[in-house]
Amino acid sequence: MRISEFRHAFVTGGASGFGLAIANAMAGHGVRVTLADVDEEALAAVQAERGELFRTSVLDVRDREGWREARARAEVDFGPVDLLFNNAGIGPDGSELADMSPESFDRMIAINLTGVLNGVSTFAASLRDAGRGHIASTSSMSGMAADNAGLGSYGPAKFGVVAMMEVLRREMEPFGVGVSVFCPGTTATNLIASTRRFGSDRFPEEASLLDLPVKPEQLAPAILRGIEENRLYIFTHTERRAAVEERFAGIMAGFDAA
Amino acid sequence: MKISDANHAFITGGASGIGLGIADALSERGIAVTIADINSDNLDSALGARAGRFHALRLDTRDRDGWAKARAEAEGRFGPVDILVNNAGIAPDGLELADMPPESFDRVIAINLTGVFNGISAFGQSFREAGRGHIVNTASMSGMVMDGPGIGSYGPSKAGVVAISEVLRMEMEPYGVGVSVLCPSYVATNLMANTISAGGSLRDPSVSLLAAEMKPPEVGELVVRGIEANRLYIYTHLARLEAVEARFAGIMADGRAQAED
Repeated sequence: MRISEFRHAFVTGGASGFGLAIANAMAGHGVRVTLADVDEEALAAVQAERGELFRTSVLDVRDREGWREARARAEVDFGPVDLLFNNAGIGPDGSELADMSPESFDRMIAINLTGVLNGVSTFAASLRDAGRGHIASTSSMSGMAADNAGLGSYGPAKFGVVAMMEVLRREMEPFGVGVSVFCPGTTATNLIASTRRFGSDRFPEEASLLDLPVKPEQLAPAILRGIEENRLYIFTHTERRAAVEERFAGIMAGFDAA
Repeated sequence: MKISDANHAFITGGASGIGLGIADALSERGIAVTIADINSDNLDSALGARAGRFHALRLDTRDRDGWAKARAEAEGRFGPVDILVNNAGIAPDGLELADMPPESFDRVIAINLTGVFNGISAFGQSFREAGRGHIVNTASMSGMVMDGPGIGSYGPSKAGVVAISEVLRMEMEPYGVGVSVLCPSYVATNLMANTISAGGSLRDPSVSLLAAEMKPPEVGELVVRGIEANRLYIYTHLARLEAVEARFAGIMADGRAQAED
C-alpha cells in the first residue's frame, strides 16, 4: 500500500523518538496521524507545534479500556484508522536474570509485548473487515539476537514481538492487510527517560541516548519504504547483521549436533 | 555438567508428558527428582511406583510464593537442587490474534514465559553461588519458527523462552552453570487435556497429541545428553530443520534487500 493511500495512522509512543519521526514522515505524505503516548507534556508540546494533520491521545498501552477510548476519540476526528504502529516501549533494566526483580520483568512484558497485543486486539478485526491497512510494530535488533547480558526481559519481549508479527502477517495476508516488524539498533531517542518514567532506577539521571549519531528522522524514510513494500522485517542497522547471522548459525549447528 | 555429578532435579510440569520423561531419564541415572505440577491427579499417578526416588508437590508456576515454598520443601527432602527443568506450559488457544481474548494471551504468557522466569528467579542465584548446576527451559519449535496456525500467543511465549535461555546462558556461563533450551515439536503428551485442566482454552478440544511418534522417554534421553554436552539448543525433530532455515533465510534476505536500498 502506498503511504499516500493511508488516511489515518495511529502511532503509540508517538510523542518523541521513532514514533514522532514516523508520524512526521507520514504527515509529509498527507496522512492524518493520532499520536498516542503516556507523556502528556510531550504530547501537548507536539500538538501546539504541529498542524491540522495531528491529534494526540494520552494512552498507557497496558490499559485495555484506554485503548478502546483512544481509538474511539481518534476515529471521531480523523475517521477509521488504517495504519497501526505499535511503537511504545521501554528499555532493559540491565539486571542479570538471577537478580532481576519480578516486578521489573512483569513491567517489561506488559509494556513491550502485551502492549503490542493490546493494539492488535483493538484494531486488527476492523482492518481485516475493511480488507486494507497495515500493522507495524517496533521490536529491536534484540528481537533477533539477544547477545548481551542484562537483556533477560527485553530480549524475550522483543523476540515475542517478532513472533507475534510473523503470526499476524500470515493471519492478515488473505485479507489484504500488511504486517511489518521494525527492528532498529541503538538510536538517538529518549528511551532512557521513558524507561525511568515507568520506575526503572537503572540509569543515572543524566544518562541519555540522544547524543547518538543515528537519529530517528534519518530512519523514517526506510521505515515508510518497508511499510510501502509490505516487508515483514524492517532493518535499519546493517552493522548488526553479523550478530544475527552468528545466532542463526549457532541454532543450525544445534540441528547438526542432534 | 556430568549427570553423575548431579544430585537433585526439580522439574515443573513433571507429572506427565515431557516433564515425566525427563524425570525418569534423570532418575535412572541415580538423581533424586522433585516433580512439581499444577495437576494433583497427575502427580498422584506419577508418584505411584516411583515414590522412593521422587518427591511430588503441587505448584502453579505463576505463583511466586508457591515457588519459594516448593523449593524449601523439595530441598528439605533431597538437598540442594542442581538441575532445574522449567518445563510446565500450555498449548496455543488456536485463535487468530484479531479474535483472541486478551485474557487468553495473558494466560499463555504468564504460564509459558513468566513461569520460566519465576523458576530462574527462585533458583538462579543459588546455582550461581554454588558455581555448578544446569537449567533447562522447555520452549518449542514454535519458538524458532512461527508457522503453525493460531499461535499468536504461544509463538511469542516460546520465542521468549528461547531468548531468556540465550541471555541466561551468557549470564551463567562465567559461573559454571549450564543452560539449555529444549525445542520439541509434537510429542505424545496430554498437553491438550492439561491445558484445559490448567484453565487454558483450545479451539478444538478433540485434538490429541498422544498418537505423535516421538515419545517422552526418548525426549528425556535427548535432554540428558543435552545437559551433559551443555548444548544451548536441544532438538527432537530434525525434520523441522528446513522450516527454521527458511525463516532465517527470509530474515537475512530482507536485511540484504534493505542494505541495498
